Amino acid sequence: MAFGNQFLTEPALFPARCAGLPAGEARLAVELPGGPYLLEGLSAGQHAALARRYGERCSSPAAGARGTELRVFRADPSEFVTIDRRGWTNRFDFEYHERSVHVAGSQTMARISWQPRLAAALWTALDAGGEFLEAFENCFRVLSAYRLLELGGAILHSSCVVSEGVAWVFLGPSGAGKTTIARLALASGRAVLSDDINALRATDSAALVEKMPFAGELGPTNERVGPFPVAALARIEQAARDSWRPLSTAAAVAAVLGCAPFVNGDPYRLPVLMDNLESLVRGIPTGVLEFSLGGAPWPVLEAATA
Amino acid sequence: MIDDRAVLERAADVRFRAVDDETVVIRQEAAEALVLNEVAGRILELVDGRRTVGEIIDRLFEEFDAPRDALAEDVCAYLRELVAAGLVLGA
Repeated sequence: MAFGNQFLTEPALFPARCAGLPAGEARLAVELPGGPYLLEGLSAGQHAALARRYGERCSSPAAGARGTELRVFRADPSEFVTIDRRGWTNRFDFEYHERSVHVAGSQTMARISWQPRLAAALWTALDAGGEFLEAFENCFRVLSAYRLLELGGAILHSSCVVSEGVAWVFLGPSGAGKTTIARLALASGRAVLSDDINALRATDSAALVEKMPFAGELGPTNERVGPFPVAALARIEQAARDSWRPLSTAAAVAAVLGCAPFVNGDPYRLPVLMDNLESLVRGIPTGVLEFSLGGAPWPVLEAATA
Repeated sequence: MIDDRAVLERAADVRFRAVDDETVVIRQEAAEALVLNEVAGRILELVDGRRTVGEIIDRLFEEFDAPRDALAEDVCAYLRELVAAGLVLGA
């Protein structure tokens, strides 16, 4: 299906640049991984919804504040296909270009661009509430993925467990056991950042992981957000007993690459992503963790990464 | 059927990179990444929609120390696997 057909009444009229009528005049700074993010052009209802959603991570931006900009523009409801949301699973379409990425979703158009620097524009007819937050977060997930890319990292579909000040990041497709291992961690008294998506980035001295504000089946866990140094990256597989098998650098890159959403489908930015991931996995023990539902994989992990 | 005269091409969404002595491959539309060994990675690189399978075998015969018949058999077997994996379009 061609880009946007599922969501937009006129996909060919997708905005060619980040411009339009702002939804309002409100502004908000949000401190999330890769941030701060400066949200501009918000209506009062949108501002209130975001302030409730992100709580203490929000502030009023000072004049001249710097950050990655996300501007919200008003769209007409007729620009979007009416979707029957019974049984709805959030999804969106992408179209990758050399200098921009286009996103279409339910009541959403968004454009990520690099002219003159990384920024996003969101067009929506939604003024407040849960559907607006879904539209915003569709855009924000993609923007943050590219922001983390700029910082030498990536966002990863993963579950992240913190133990004694360091983090283990567990990778795998849906059904591999990311939520299961997060539950095992909580039962053992360890902390979980997110069981769905976490932000990995490089610094001069270490790879760090931070909590993204999106949870999987486990739901919101605790207020520990990081950043924490990464002790290991583990592709997880459920098995009869707990074991650890190191991966070659290429296999480690492949394991992480498959879990780096949005950017791993982008032919223009893929080389940078692969540079980032290769650099990260060369500095972090990476392997396959086989774990059993009745077991405790933590000693195996601790021994493998000591 | 893959024979010496066949001309194969990579799927449009396939991207790859050599890492040490292996090759990381991703099918971007499916976000599926996998690893190929050195020979399979080199075959994928040589499949360009222009070379025949025979020319690919000739090139690998120059690069690898192996009998040509055995090499030809291996190349065809690898190509069948690459086709099955959706990385190379079938003849």
